[in-house]
Amino acid sequence: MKTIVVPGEKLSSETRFNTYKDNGETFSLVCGVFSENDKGGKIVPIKEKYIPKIDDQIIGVVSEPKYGGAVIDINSPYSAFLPTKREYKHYEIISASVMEVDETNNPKLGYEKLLTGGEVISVAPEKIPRIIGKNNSMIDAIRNGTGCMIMVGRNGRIFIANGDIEKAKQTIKRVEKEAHKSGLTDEITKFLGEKQ
Amino acid sequence: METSEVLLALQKPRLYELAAAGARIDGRKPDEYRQITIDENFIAFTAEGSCRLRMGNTDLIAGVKLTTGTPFPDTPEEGVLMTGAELPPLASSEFSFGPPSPFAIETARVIDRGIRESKMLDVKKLVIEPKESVWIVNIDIQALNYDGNLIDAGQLAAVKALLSTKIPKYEDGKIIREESSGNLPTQDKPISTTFAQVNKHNFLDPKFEEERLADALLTIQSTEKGALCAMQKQGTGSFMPKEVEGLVEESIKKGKEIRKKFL
Amino acid sequence: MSSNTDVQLIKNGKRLSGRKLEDLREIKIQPGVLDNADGSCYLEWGNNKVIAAVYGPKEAMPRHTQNPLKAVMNYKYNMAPFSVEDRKRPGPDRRSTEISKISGAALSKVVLLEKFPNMQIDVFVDVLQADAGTRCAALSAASVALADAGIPMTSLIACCAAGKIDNKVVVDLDKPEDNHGQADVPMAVIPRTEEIVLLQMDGHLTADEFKTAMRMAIDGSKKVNEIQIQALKEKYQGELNGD
Repeated sequence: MKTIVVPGEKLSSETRFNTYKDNGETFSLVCGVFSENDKGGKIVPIKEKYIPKIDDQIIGVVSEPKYGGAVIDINSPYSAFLPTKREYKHYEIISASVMEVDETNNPKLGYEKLLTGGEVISVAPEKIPRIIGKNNSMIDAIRNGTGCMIMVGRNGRIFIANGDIEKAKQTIKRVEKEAHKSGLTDEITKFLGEKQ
Repeated sequence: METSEVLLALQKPRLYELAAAGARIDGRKPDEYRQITIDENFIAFTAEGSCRLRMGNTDLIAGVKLTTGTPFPDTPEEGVLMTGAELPPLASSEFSFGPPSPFAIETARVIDRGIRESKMLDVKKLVIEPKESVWIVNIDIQALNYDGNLIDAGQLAAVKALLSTKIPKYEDGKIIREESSGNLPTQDKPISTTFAQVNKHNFLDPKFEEERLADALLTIQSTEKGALCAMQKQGTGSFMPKEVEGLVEESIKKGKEIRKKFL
Repeated sequence: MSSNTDVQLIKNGKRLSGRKLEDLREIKIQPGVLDNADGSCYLEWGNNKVIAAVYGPKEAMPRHTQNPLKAVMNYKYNMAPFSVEDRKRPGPDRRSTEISKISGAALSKVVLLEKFPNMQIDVFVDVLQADAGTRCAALSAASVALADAGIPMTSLIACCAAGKIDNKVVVDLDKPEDNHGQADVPMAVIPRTEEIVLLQMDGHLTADEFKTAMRMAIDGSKKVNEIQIQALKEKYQGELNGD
């Protein structure tokens, strides 16, 4: 049973994230979708800006090459820094890992890889888990159904190359829009199988 | 970070520690004003009314200038009251040169509110020619040194100045400032009391550190008869309803004391 | 406030609009109406029409306004030129500046600003049509817009004014009541705890009258809050169900 909760609403289960406690009771911090099971509650915010966390895999765009590295746009209010000896050019696309985040939320990136020959689309960061699916079920269905190499960034950016890029883009956008529908993975798999 | 931000950050722990015990950094009681000194008619040479007031180290001048002009369309038979406040850089490193900041605008508007809503000025008696020409009473607060609580100090100075303001003579469409046609018609004496909430304690007449480090501020203004005429809450903290009721009671009591002592 | 005693505002216990002393005007709230903003809310309250938009968190600019400990709340209340009977010149005036200052401070109590160091959160509220109580309508809409933007807050805040007309304390003054009334007390609270985050008063009230007015404004705010919650739930439950 999924319900909508609003900021300041009292929750019926112990919920770890997007909440706060007052006098032993738990309250939601956001407007979001609340679901609970015997393990406790979970809130998926209706909207979220991407705030970088350690070990996040992200897809970034070079916004400012600098000496000793580059400032990378990671689709977040915070911009990231990639220390590197390679001279990057404006708007080159990379995948990278968040190595550390300082106390003002500015991350340092590493394990970077230059991405070429494909396209990048942006989706709402909070929809990324749905696009990946349980055990990669959704993203694998899209990979198989389109023949594309798809790299999903936790920051809401997705890199698509080879295969039917247009179909992949359309499908991903549809999953983003219908994220809360149940049985969506099956529906998508079927849809991808239909078109030739 | 500005230098004063650092200074305030260093003072905060001590301020909060003292506040927890109901004590203040300058040793005052929670409901005690700083020393108030008044120099009446300080700008007698050029202003129709004036007053220099010191509340502790907060030092300012209230000047009253009368001009004539057309009344507001919705009050064609009433004089006009306008209040401004200048918080110039000479008064504090907190203030910068240029148009009034939100803080200065709020200060002026809250000082104005109590005077206006208490109907201290009998504006119906400030008409020269109905619908055509009325007296415009300009109150201008000029800060000289800012050490907290410009609102209470500014309003008290303004009220004091208004009480001894002389209306210039008006003849054949000309203002003759050397002669006067009498005092401004007044019919009340509002008093402003501002409380700073520091670590859940409320302190009257906050000095700079208390004002800046308080979680919230509440200004309550009352009339001679002990009715409320204006209130303003400032800051990012909050007050509980019962707390506000208590401060209202204290404010009316303090208002009577100040009125008796200075006006 | 001019207490024009020529106009009788209460007849037989009912106000000119037909409302009882404790009745609020009709309020309609629609979250998520603007495409560009991160969060938005359109709100109608009597004849008031306001639109609130939230942009952020985003990098605070100019750089010197950045606070490494928390986000800066940037609330801007503005009235459209056609929103009032006597056209208002566009641009901020002293009244808008004061309202912006105290409304931003009210929201700062509930928004988790420390979660976004060096950022700013822009809250823009435009009054499109004014019918007294605009700052309350604006702040109530802004609260919903912030929730719509996904910005973490300990609570929604709701704002409602009480006042005095014909020597009676009433809630939610409309324009004629505000023009001819004797007191105006806008208040905003955190509904669950009744913590007061915005409070102003002008006019003439005894301490007892103020106590009554405060209670009416708080109760009024709680009613507004119920409408806020309903609006958010309806909008997003609808999306959940695939509407």
